[in-house]
Amino acid sequence: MISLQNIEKYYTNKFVKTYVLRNINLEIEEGEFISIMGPSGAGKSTLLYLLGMLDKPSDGEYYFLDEPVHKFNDRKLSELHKSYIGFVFQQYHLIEELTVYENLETPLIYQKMNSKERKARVGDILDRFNIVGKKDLFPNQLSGGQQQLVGVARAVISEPKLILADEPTGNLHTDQGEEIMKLLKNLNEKGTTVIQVTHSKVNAAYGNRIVNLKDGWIER
Amino acid sequence: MWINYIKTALRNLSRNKTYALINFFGLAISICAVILIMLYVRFEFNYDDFHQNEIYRLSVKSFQENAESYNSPVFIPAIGPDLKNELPEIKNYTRISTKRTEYFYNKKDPVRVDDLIYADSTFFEIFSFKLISGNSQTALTAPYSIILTEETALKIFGETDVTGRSVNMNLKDNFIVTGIVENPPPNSTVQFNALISFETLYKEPNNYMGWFGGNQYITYLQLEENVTRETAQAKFPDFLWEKINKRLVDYNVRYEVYLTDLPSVYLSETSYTNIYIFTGIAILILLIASINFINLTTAHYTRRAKEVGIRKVIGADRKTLVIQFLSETIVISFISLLLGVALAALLAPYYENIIQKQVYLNILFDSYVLSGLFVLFFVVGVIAGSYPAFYLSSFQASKAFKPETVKNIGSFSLQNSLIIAQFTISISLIITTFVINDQLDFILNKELGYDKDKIIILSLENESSRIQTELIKETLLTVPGVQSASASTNLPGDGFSMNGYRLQEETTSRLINIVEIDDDYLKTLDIELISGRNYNDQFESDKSAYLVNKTFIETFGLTDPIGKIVHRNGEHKIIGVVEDFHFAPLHEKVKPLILGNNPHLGGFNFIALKVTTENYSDLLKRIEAEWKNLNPSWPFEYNFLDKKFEQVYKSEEKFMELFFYFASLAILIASLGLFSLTSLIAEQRTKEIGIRKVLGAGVFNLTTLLSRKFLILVLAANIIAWPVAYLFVQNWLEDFAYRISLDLKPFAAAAFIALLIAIVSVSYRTIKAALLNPLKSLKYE
Repeated sequence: MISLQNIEKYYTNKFVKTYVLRNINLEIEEGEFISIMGPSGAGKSTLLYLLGMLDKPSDGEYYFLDEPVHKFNDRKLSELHKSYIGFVFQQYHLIEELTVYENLETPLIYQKMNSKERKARVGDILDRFNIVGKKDLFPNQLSGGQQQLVGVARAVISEPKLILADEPTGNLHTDQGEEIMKLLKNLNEKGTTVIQVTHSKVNAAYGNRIVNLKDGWIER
Repeated sequence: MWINYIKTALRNLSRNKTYALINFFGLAISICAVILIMLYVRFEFNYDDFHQNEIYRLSVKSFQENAESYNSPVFIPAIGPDLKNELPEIKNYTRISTKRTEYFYNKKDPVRVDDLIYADSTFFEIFSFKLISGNSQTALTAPYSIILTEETALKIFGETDVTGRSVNMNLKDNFIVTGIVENPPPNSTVQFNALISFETLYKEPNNYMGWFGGNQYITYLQLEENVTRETAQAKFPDFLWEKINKRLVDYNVRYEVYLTDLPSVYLSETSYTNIYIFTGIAILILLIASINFINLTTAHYTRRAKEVGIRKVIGADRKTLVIQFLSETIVISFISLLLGVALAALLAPYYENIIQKQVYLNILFDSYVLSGLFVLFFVVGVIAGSYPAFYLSSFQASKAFKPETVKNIGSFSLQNSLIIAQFTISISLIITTFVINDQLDFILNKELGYDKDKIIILSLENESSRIQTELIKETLLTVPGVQSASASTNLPGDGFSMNGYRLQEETTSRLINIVEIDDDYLKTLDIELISGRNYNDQFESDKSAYLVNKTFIETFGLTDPIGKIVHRNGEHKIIGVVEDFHFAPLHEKVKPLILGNNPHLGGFNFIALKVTTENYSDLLKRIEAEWKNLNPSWPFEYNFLDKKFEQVYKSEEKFMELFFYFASLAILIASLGLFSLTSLIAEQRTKEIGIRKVLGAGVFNLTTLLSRKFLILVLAANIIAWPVAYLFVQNWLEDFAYRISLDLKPFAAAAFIALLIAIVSVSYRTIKAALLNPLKSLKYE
């Protein structure tokens, strides 16, 4: 599903290159659950954003479903990104001015889905995640765990093939975290590919493969 | 999708009330100011647009030794009829006299009617004034016919249904009321309170109605179809040569006439300057408010970088985001537009009062103006919105989540240049306000060469009073508090009339200002005699003598003026020279002046009383009693010389007032913007402030840290504003022959005020931020 070949990422500042990722080669099959681990500053989040097409590599080739992503322009990237990828963040990143319902609906709006279908989809997901009662609340009226639940719900609402999660449990209590991890595992078992960044060995255990990063290199 | 955008926009606004209010009201106030100025400009440009016919006004230029000496629509009465009789191009004409003030007697008391004009019977054929009653064909045909406006009819008769009744004018002739006419609209060049048939003038023995005198009439013409102004004008030189110019060759005098179409008459007389200046101010105000809008929106959207990031992650592309942000700003500017229109409607009556013009608020709702406003708000919304929209939407999602990359927007150079632009405008306006104020002060307090204080002016409105000035003076001098009294044809302030005079052996005559005075004039007005002697009313020979002013002898190079001869209807010997005094407005230099001693025809027009009292109302009562004693039918009309003087500068004062209001508005909007911008920036830097406090920074330290940038910007604005304002005010001052010399004061004062405003608007928020408990501000992130 994903193939990274010799990916490099660096920032140039006053002619000094600062490397974040170095010579990354990575193959990911559909249906995998991968955990990216490593110390702070190893480049974990950058790698995740690259995979999510929110950032571009400085060098190297990236194939997603055999498409050469590194050659795509912004519009095509955005197209690919919004149809196949869902994102979950440590800080949840819900839109604070919108209610739970509206937050869940927004990605569907961007996919130009008609309102009837949107309604059905949002109703369905509220049901599935057991948050129907919370649909008219604003994010700041929810607990962290509930917000992250909405965050995951928003990520999966457009039925992506790939879910990218950046320390999804980093801000949560242990039992809330466990719930979110079980949810991701569950999605993975139904066929969705999951890639998570995590510090926790416990969370990494939910996955079937661990990629260790250190100073931008993949450790073998 | 739209619902989603509007919801986000509205919830965003309600969450940031200060920001929203300042944005709305700043924009609304500026739109209101723009509307008010637009109404004024439109009024000026729509002058005389209610007439159905194409009408031309005839004006005359006279040349003396090929130098233009006179240019005015006021000319002799014979030209209208002769033009129509002799040139086939002329379809019709109507003449009106200059405005008169007369007294009407229905019962016992005289009723004063100002702005009375004599008009030809064709008046209503040419102009589109509406008669309420009476026959427009015949109402002005017969001599001694009068048409009144409703208001005038009410004043004289106490009712308006008076057609056919008779009324006496000046205790002399009886007139028949032949019609009632609507008040002329305020945007009409021709204004009147009553119309008297032109035929009446031919019945009065003292009126010159031919080609060689009676310079008191304005002629309006209608041209035949297919005749252009140019073809008609081409015929004028030959026509004038036959009628008048060939007889003036020996005097080296020549007349030319030309036509002005009626809509242009007003605009050609009003200087465009004020229209330009206020249009300029409107644009500047709009600019300041738009800058606020851009700055605030940008600064505020920085806080929404996260939202941009999220929206991008969940599938928004750049185009969608640009549309979202643009629609938000357009919504804001539309709401502001509505607020602005409402505000303008509310303020219109006060505004009319200030500009002394009717602004016709209903023109706001004609399609022309409406579409103009619509375009205006759209442009403001798009321009103000596009910068933040395009900038924000360009964020990479991965960066949008890292606050530090976005935060830089607060110190970014566009914002700085915009603040400098705003303050440059504000400072220039403050400087200009000061200079205009100083110049007015200077004029109103200038040494005039005469004493305008404590002078009461009484008008001699009746012939019988005009020939009894000696008796009136003697009687009024018996009133305690009256120090001296003088009769004259005019008093200084708004200028004297001119006549042609020939000096010594010269062969051609020159136009020179003239006032007829008695021997108490110099004493009463405290005008200094610098050589020779004053008149003595006891000497009959003094009747033909002249006094002249200093400029007179300087202009004509008379080294030894006493005894020199001036010719006009005989010889006049100069017996004395007076120090220059400003008899005309201070826009012009003092000109040569003759002070004669022999009022012809009707006699003197005014009695000036120098008084010593503080209690004017008491004194006036006593003077009126004596006046009525002399003759109860004489109307008692008084004025004060200093008031008359101020009246001359009224338009400048109005200009000053209006300028002050709009300048204040501009400054208010700019400082509001600065206030909310600092609020936003202080908020963005909460964490930094918290850290600095933990490290030991004091409130003063922090306040300077946050305000320093703005103060530097305001100082930079001063540097740009000074030369700009200098050029502008220097230009404005050129209109005055007597003007202040520009010094550093208004500039320094403007700089001080601008800094003060900046400090006040900045420090409230910064001090508040600096006082915040660091624990709170650090937890905030």
